[in-house]
Amino acid sequence: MKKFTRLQRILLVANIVLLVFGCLMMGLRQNTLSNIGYSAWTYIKYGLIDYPVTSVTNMFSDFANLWHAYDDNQYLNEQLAQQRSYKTLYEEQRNRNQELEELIELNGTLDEATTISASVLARDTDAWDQTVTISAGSTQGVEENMIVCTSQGAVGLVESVQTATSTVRLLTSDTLINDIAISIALDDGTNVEGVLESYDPDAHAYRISLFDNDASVTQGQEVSTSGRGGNYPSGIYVGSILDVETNDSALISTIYVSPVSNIGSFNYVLVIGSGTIS
Amino acid sequence: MKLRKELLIVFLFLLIDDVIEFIFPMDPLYEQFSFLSQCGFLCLCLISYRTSWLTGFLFSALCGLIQDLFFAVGFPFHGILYGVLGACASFLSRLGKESILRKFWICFMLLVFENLISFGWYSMTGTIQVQFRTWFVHHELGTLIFNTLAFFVLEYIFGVMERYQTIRRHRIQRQEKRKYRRLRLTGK
Repeated sequence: MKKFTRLQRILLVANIVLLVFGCLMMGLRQNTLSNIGYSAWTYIKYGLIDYPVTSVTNMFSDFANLWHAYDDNQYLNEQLAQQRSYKTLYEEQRNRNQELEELIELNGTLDEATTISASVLARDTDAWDQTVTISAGSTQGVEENMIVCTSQGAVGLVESVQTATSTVRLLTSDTLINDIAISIALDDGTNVEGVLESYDPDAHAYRISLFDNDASVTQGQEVSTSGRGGNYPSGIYVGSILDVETNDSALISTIYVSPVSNIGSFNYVLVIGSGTIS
Repeated sequence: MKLRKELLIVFLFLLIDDVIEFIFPMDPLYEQFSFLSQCGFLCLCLISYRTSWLTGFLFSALCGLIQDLFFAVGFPFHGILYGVLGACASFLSRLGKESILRKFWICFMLLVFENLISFGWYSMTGTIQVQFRTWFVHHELGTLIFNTLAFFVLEYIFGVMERYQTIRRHRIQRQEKRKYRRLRLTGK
């Protein structure tokens, strides 16, 4: 009678072979003097199973690391973007600080004049060179026609006053609410006076008429308020002479004065009332 | 399926188990939840399920010895254990009506039995020193859940392979029939 099928015989032989092989390996493992066979088997096992498995798992691990690298990259990009924001923020704060320091310096030069510190609340983009709204109003003592200065010099006149805010008409505006009396200190110790009438957008300068047509004014001379006829003190810097226009009789008819450098962008202002600058 | 293919499949799943173990390593202190993939064992259970008890025993013992030699320690522990459990799978399959649920319960039971005996053996030899409850909660539950899912995946794979074999057999039979008809008509 046939006891085993062909398949079972094959399985039996394979089992016996593996069992004998395993026992042999076990025996070699116990024998510390001859571990060559065991080392060879370890090497085969490593080559056949462990190394491929480790390679596959390393592949997964590399893929996971790649994913982490992507995350890291995203994180670093965000950080970099934030750093850029911090840099611009820092620069803005530094400029504001500088502006405030200069305003304090200017404030220190005013003895009897009324000074009110304020910040710019709004500046309409459609009328950038026309008006600004500042954070000081009648409560703080602001009055109409007071002069408004930045750290560089005069930039406008108070047009209307509300309780906590005021509207400032800039000197670069098309329609100045009042002419501003100015004064130019000459080299011989005398002053020549005039009036700031308007702003010439083509020349990017104030148009000023002098009362004394014979005065010898030249480019680069500084122009300041004279304090006459306004609700503000004398000596506040308005700008420097850019050009001098003469008439047929070689008499000075009009001078052009460049505005202060930061009239295009400022954050803090000083509203100055009547008085004198020391 | 031929023995050669079946052995290859078991070997492949033992390798997959090894890879899964590398990816989701067991916590040796049993403080965290972990699981052990036993697709290879489930595979040999499913193969033994369809064979005679002696073939099941010999096939499972061979797989167990392969497991001992290449993937585990404690030769010939797995050889003997798998052999006995393979024979059990084969024996139990003949006791009732064929259904997937029954097949699942038999394989699940054998899996639990295998894990319990392994735990007992490794506790006895001092390989693991952990309380039964901790081992069961932190390791065995995860293992059972994972392998329950793996069983259905394997059953699906085996089903697909079985259908492929049937289609192939039918195609060969049709070709042979055509050949015989031609032979009968033309004599060539």
